[in-house]
Amino acid sequence: MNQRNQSPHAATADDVLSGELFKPQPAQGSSAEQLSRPVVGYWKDALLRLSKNRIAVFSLTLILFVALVGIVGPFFFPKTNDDTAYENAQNLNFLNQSPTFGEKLLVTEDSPAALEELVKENFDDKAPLLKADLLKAPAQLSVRGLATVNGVSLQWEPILGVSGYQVYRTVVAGQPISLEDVSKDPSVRGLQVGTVSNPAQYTFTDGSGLNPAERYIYSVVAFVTDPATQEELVSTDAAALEVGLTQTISLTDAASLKTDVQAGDTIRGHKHIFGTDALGRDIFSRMVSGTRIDFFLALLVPTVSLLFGLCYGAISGLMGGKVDMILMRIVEILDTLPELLLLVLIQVAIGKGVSSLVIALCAFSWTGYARVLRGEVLRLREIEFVHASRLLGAPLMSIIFRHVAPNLLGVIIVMWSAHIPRIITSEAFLSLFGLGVEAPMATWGTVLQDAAVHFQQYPAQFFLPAAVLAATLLAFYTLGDALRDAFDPKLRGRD
Amino acid sequence: MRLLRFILRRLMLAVVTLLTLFTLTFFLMRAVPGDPLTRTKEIPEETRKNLEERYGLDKPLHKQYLLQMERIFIHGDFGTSFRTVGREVNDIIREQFPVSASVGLVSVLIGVLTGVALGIVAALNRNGIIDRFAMFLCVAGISVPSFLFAFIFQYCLAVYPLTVLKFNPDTWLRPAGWGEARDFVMPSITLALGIIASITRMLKSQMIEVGFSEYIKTAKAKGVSLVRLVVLHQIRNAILPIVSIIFPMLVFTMSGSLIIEAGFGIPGLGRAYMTSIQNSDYNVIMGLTVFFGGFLIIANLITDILYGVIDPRIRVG
Repeated sequence: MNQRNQSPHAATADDVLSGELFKPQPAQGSSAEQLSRPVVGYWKDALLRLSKNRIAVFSLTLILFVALVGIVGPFFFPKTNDDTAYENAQNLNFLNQSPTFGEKLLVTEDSPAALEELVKENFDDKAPLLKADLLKAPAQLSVRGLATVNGVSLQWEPILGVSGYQVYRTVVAGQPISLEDVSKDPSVRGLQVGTVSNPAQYTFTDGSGLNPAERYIYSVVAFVTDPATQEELVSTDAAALEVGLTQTISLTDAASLKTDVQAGDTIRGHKHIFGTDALGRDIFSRMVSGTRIDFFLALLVPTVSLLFGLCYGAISGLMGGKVDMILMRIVEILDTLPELLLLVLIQVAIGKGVSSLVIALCAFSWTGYARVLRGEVLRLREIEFVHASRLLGAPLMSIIFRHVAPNLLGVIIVMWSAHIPRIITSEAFLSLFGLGVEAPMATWGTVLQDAAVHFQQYPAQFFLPAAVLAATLLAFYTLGDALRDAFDPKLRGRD
Repeated sequence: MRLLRFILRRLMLAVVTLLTLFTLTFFLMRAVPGDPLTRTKEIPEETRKNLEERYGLDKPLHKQYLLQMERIFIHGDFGTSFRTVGREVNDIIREQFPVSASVGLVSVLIGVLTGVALGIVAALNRNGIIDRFAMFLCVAGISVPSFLFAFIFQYCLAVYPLTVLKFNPDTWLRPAGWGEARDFVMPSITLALGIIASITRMLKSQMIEVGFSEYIKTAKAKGVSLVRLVVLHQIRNAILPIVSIIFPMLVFTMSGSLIIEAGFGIPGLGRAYMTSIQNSDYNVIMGLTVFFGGFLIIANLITDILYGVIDPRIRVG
């Protein structure tokens, strides 16, 4: 207490409040009413909240990226020889291919026709050789077609008089073994991956447990079976070949990629980052061009349904009374209609395609907008500013667009954004049942439909596009949730 | 008495709705070009006439309409399939509905039990590992369509173990098939995922909301033990709205999911409906549409009555 009394002002005993201690504040006029901090309106607040939501920003980026790829991607598709679009172009040499990334490929000799001639000429009534040490190694061991994880197809020139061939495989990694070692020394040939017991057969396909990162040395040895002891006499010399997976390509397959190639050339293989489907079409390009149709549907259908539902709901809500009753009964009846039946009807009437999908999907979804927006309009029309506007004689349409619609925007954005992923899901679902677009056209749904038929053999064909679909849907849903949080303060804080 | 009046009024409304549904479906089907007879290969004029007579397709449209209405609504007879000779629609429903219903029942059971457990745990350890996992499951379960899950499960649980890991195909799950207890596993899990997602999400937010309420504060202030507080006060009040969504969920799931039944080879009603539409098999389409409609209407009625039993505040009147 004492200390406070001893402060400099209180210290002077005859301290009087004199006029000169006070100075009049200059008039501030309207600035006194001004807010010191920037005004954050409804829209700004919503945007601010949205941009602070990291997951929402990530989702939005992902969606924009997918959309951008869909818009720009088709311009970068390779040219096809004829007029077919690249995503529909079939390459029958590359059916059901696993993903490839345009690796450099070595073109190897393939001469199955010549080999078949040789077999025909030499393998009738020839007495078998009996001495194993007279056997030589099979000549011209080479890879037939594309060596991939799915299989390495070997071929060689058959040897007269043998009983068959044994095929071995060893991994190059770590141990420095040369082809010469393998061809001379049976102990380093590794795993016996198979036996060909027909002397006229000159091919073998090894397809189990291959690892794309490894390099392998395959070796083929001939053997004869002693008719007396049934003992297999194996030749000491083997033909050996080093194989890196997806690194070689046969001449025939190479010719389909590039004109005038020769064995020994190195060419760049196809780039099929999602692989190819059962018709040899590039799945990635089908997905990219499908993005256009899917996003077109996903934007158009909710927008059209929204506009129609908004007008319908607003009229119903604003007119009230008998009109409202009749309009709402119509909505209820339409909702009971079997949707699939309606879709089939529309497709039969105007043909399969994007337009019948748009009509059918809109027909199913506008009633939802109408119902919710009618409720909102009913609430809004009892609000004072609408009463005032009506009293002043504003026409119905002007009330709808000037006063009701802007206040509905929050609800509309939330409904509209939640509708988008449902349309993409519907498209995929209908396509899986063959109720989507017409055959050669690519959509996400038709890509899945084509792959679903044999997804047990080629799971990558189905699951890579499915992952794109799932990620996009996830992004749309999280973005929709974030929009709901941002635009509807009442729901804030809930999960 | 008030309840009885309510039920009577709703039943009358149900009949009107069913009649509207019947009428619309009838004319919609007729509007699709091509009747069930023209869809098959060319048939002689004579046979065609006989068939039309047999199925009553030769009569004028309004007569067909009235006859069919009488048969369905007075005799409760949905007629026979146009496609499979002598196959009664009533038999299709009798045989295939229990299949769809049993799969639906098992999925809802799994979904509700898991969802409730997950929702409670997620609410109790907010932002913990289980909560994060549960919330991810919710977003995935709601946004990723069930047909993708069907394929994922089919590959990971059946195809991969059988072909690559060489599991015994006699005892392990089959990719598709029907008739044994093991065939329930994959379809039920697939269908249950969506249910788990929505129940977990709803229960968690309810639990948190109830946690802030005054009566929880009062109970805490009175020194109620934590277990008692959570079980008797919090969970009991939070679970109420869940009970009200379970029944509609059950009805929806029991009427058969097209994709699940097609994907897993289950001979249920959803698949029968799809085939009948593809074949424009009038009687089957009509029978199943009216059956589903009636099933939904009665289920909604029961739901409304149940609401009142569970929560006295919204008793019907």
